[in-house]
Amino acid sequence: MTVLELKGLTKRFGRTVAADDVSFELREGEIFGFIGPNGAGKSTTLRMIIGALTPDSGEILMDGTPIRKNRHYRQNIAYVPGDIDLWGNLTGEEVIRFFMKVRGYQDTAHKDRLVERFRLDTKKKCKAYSKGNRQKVALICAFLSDARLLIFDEPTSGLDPLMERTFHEEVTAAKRDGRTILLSSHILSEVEKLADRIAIIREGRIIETGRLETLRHITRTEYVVQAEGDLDALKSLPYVHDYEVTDAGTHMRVDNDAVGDFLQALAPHQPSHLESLPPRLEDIFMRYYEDRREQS
Amino acid sequence: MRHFLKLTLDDTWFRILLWIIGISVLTLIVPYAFFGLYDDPAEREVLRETLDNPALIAMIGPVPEGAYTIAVMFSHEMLVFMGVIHGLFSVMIANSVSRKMEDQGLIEYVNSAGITRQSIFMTQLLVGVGMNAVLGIVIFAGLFLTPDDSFTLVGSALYAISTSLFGMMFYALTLVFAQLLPASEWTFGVSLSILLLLYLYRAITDVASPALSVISPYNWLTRLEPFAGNEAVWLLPFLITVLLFGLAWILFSGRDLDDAHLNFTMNKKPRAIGSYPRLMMGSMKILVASWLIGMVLIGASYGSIFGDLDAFINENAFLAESMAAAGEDPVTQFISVLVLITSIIGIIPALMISGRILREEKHGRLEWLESAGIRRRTMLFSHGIYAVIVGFVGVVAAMLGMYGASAGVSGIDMTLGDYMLIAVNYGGAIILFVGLSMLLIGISARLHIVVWFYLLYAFFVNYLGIIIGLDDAWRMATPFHYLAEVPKESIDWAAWSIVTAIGIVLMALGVLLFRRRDVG
Repeated sequence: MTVLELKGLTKRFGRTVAADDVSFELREGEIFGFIGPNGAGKSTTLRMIIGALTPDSGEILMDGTPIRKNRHYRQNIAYVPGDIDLWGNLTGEEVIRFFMKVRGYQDTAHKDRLVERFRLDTKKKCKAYSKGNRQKVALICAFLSDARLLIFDEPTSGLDPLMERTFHEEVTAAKRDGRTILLSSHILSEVEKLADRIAIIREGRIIETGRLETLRHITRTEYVVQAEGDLDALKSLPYVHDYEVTDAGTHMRVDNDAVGDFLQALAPHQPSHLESLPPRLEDIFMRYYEDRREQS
Repeated sequence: MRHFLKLTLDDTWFRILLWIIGISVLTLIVPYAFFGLYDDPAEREVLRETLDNPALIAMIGPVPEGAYTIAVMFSHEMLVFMGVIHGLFSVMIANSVSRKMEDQGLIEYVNSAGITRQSIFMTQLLVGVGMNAVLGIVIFAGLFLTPDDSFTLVGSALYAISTSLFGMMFYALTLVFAQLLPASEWTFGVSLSILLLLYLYRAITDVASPALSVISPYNWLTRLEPFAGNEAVWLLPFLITVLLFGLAWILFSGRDLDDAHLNFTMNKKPRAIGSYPRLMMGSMKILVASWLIGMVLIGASYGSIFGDLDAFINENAFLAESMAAAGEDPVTQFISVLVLITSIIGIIPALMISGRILREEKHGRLEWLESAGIRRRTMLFSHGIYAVIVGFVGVVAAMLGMYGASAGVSGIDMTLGDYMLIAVNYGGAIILFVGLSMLLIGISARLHIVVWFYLLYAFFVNYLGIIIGLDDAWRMATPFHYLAEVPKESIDWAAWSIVTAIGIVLMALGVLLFRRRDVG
């Protein structure tokens, strides 16, 4: 079932097109990764979903109803902004309690558990918090809510690796509870680890959407080869990239749509060892950037 | 040092420039307003007589001796009041390059990059001295070039130097508080309060016991008598600025960054804040409390001179007779002027409260709150209604202060009910201004500044209208032209209803627009 659907969202700020015909949909109970470099239009898109920005054109549907026609749709959403300035004179505890009251939520045991898990000192005033601690407040507020759709805008950008793991565990737990998660990030390994499906945005446009596996046709696979013969001849092939000789063997990245050609070219060199490493999102990105550079 | 100075100037030059232009224009156009109106010495003499009464002495200071030339008239009417503006300029910039920068972590950052505390402090000092010096030079040149012989070299220099030194003194004072107090809001609030309290102190003592007034720096400006006595010796007390800079340095070098010499952190139980209005009120507690106290003080200080006002009028049999002949009670006439000025001041906190929602927007909290189900219209309405309430309560507080301070004075024929009616009358103006503020917020965050210019305009045309008899046409663009001049006149309910209704319509329009516009 589709929880959220974006149809052709476009948003301009003066001359810059921050979002250009952005469309994707979130299905119930999935983690949807939304990735792209800084300034690609991720936050703009998320802020149109929560209603801070009105799209110039296009439509957002929640549970099949346009959000313009249902102003209460936000009751089903919990949003964590990328960077948030909290009220300097309130303590973390006071902010969390405020959100619980506003959302009519009373499970203090759940709150205490989350505070404990994220190791937040809630007695401190917010102005004394670092970025990571402010993010923790917003994350706790979101995980505490009973919203069906959780929207995170670069949620781990201020967290240390340990807290990042806690966040990942909480996201997974939320998914187990049947909640839908929209996770924007420029940290690709994070999305790769968590997301069921992804959308890639660049300069305001969605350049690819789908399951990770199906996206792999546009990626490269890394091969480690050991061979009797000299492999240097492979280096000049158009579908071989990042050629590098190390002690463990010769590393190279090969376009996935040219694997057949690659194996044929490799065979005469009598490989004694061939190892392939799974494609990573970094590779998807790199390939897009290179294509772009070649075109321009 | 050079690099940090450049960085700081890059960050602040535009604000400084706007202030310098604003203050210079405000100062230098006034003499031109006098030309034509007051070319004849006899006319100036009449004006001097009318300014020599307790209400106006409280506002602008005592009338100087000697010939009342255009330049003397200018400095008499402007100097004390411009002192507040020069002081405000310095307080704001000093706070922004010291405590505010520190709150933002910038001082720590540049300190870690090898810029020493000495360099940081020297930069702060140089910015303050430099900007006031530039402002002084512009004003000196402008005054000296004013095409009237009375603007002498010495007088122009004294006016410019004294206002510059006045600014520098408050700059230094703000730097001291930046070390003492734990946050930029505190530094700004306390420095501004001292700036205003010294003005009020001068207002009371100038009327009640002029000798005591000398404690207030505003009185030093008065005693300088630029263009008249030119008593340059009254520049000497401003040497205290050097001590303040020294003190600020000692306090700055002797503390940790982000620490303060005075800390008021109390370990309280967490408050249960359950709704946006409560959150909003909680975040503005200090602002509201200090304004209400300020309004009581303003009312009380005006009220405290009513006795002198009465005595003054009794001594001036001619004035009393002429006003009585015109069917006006002179005391009521003066009170009408004072309550009008007080009410305009009372609009300031109201606009601060309605504009505060823009801070929520700027910090990205508005959209976060909205995503949690709090509606925008609820938020804007909360600010608007609270603004009207605080504005109204502020004027009521000032009226209570006035009533209390003048209760013992015989010959003032005003009941508490009369004072409350004054608050109701000007309540209409508060609603109008808050309505305009909300409309602008509804259109765009950047436009809100317009309402402040409008208030400044309203203040000036009314203030100058009283002092130099500026043509009433200027006031037609403000609600005060239409609202009755209570208590001199009784409330014009028709005009009041229209002003109030326009205010309410603007509020509603603002909310409608705010619901639709992009935020953040």
